[in-house]
Amino acid sequence: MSRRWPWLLLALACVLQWTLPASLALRSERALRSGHRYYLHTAPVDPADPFRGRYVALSFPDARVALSAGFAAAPGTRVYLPLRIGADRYAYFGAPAARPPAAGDYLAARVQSVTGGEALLRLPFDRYYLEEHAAPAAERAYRDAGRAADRRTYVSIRVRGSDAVLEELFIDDRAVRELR
Amino acid sequence: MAKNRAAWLLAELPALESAGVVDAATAARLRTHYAGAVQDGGLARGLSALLGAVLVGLGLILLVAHNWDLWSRGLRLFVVALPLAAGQLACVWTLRRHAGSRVWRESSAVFAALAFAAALALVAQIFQFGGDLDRYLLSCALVALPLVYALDSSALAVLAGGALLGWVGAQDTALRQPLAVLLAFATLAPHYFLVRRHEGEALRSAWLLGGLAPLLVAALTLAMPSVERWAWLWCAACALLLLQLDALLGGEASFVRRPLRVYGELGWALVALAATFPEFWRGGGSRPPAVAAPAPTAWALGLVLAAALLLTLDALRRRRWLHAGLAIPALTLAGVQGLGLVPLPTPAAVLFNLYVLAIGIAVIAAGLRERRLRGVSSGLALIAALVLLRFFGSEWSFVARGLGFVAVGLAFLAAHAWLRRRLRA
Repeated sequence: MSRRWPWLLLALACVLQWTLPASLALRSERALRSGHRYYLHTAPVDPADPFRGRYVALSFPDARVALSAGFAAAPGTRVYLPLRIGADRYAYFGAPAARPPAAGDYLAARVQSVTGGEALLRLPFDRYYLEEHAAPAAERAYRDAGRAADRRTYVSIRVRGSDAVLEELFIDDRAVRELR
Repeated sequence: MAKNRAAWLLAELPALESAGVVDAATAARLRTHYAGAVQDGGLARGLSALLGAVLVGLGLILLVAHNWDLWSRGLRLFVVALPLAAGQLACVWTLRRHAGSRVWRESSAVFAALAFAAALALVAQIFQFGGDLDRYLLSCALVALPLVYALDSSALAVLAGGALLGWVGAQDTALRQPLAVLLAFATLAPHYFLVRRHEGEALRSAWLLGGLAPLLVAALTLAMPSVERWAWLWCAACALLLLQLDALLGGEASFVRRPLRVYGELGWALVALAATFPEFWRGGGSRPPAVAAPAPTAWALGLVLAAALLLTLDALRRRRWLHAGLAIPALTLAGVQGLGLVPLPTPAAVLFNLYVLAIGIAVIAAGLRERRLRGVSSGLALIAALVLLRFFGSEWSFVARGLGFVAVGLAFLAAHAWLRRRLRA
């Protein structure tokens, strides 16, 4: 290998190492600043044990969707979900499709499993991170808020083009970050 | 001899040679003999530096990973970028000032790759992404590739191989493709061949191969749908391929520098010894499965088996009968699981007992002929394993088995002592 090759390869590595995280950060920041806001119903994966160290693992009831007739989606397939807003101001998903809709916001998701014409989808966000000392305080506040069935839990997301970013997790209309 | 004494002796050789204390041929032999000791010392030093770099890197990453949510996103992103910049600067420093130092090359490459992996994960944390683990690991492996070649880092090559294995494991089962696995690992192959070309059978090329080979086999195994139905055939074919590749590439290197042989012999012994039980031939794992193999499994199995058999034919052509004989388990299982032949369990088990015994005797004979105690020990170990299995597999009383164990053990100790004396005579 000539003496120039190691430098060229190192330059390539440096470019890639900056480009990937920077593009991810830039697109997410743009979505947070100028994306449309939607609210999605959610719940901790395990309401009895919601905080997994420094994050809350989230499950979305709307992530189980009916597949249109003739649309075969194998596990792992990428699908696109049109976003609609219901009368209760929460967002819900339209029928998943293989291509992004021509107009309107959408989420890109992956099919996790398919059973009886219904697909369970993996959304681009499935956890909410908290500062490690804030998590126990938030957990105490969560438990004090009453029975699991009575709590109103939802997230706000921002969507801009194909980018969707989780903005905040709310329990009974209070942002989890404020539960200290 | 301790590393520093060996280094002292090597440093003294030119003076001893010019003073006529040793001749040139003796000096050359001493250099060859003690080169390993010096290299091992350098290796230990390199490993400690590499571990140090990894631990410092991981410590910094843990500090940065703390979710400092009182800070603004911009400040957190800036802090995330610091280890990444430090890793890249370390690589630039290495190429400018320590290009000849293996320790610097390995440590800076691994640190820069870990810093990138951490940066990507932390950006995902800052923006609350769940993220797809498979895509994350694939990104880490692919971005590590230019660093592997820029800094000639074998430790990073093995880490990238580990990330590729993780990528396959994290993928949805339906998306796994053996061809994609082969292509991904092929990106690391030039590094191995470059190391081998420049350093021959040095410990680095052995460790590199020893690290990458099982990762590749494991990744391929994960990528083959329903492979558990053909597990014995897959194991036999991989073991045979590794053994034949070792015979082709192994040269005169010592056993520890031939990882393919180690893995191959372990895999071969596992299959051959399992086949000495009649239950093996009655069980589902060695019978033709009721359904045809899925296409990716069929062609991956076929490819590995075909390559192994081609190399076996080459061994036959070169009259290396022992190497050719090692193909029997793979061929038998290919007949049973591939062609649907149904063997009678007891005769098949008896034949495999005789076969393993014959291979053990042949290995001992080859060891005696080449005056290699290690070869003789391998043959004895194989026969000992066969004898032990027969004790466990039989219905003799505990007393009879106990006496049998003691008698066979004493016989082996006596035979080993006799062989040791004979080989050293």
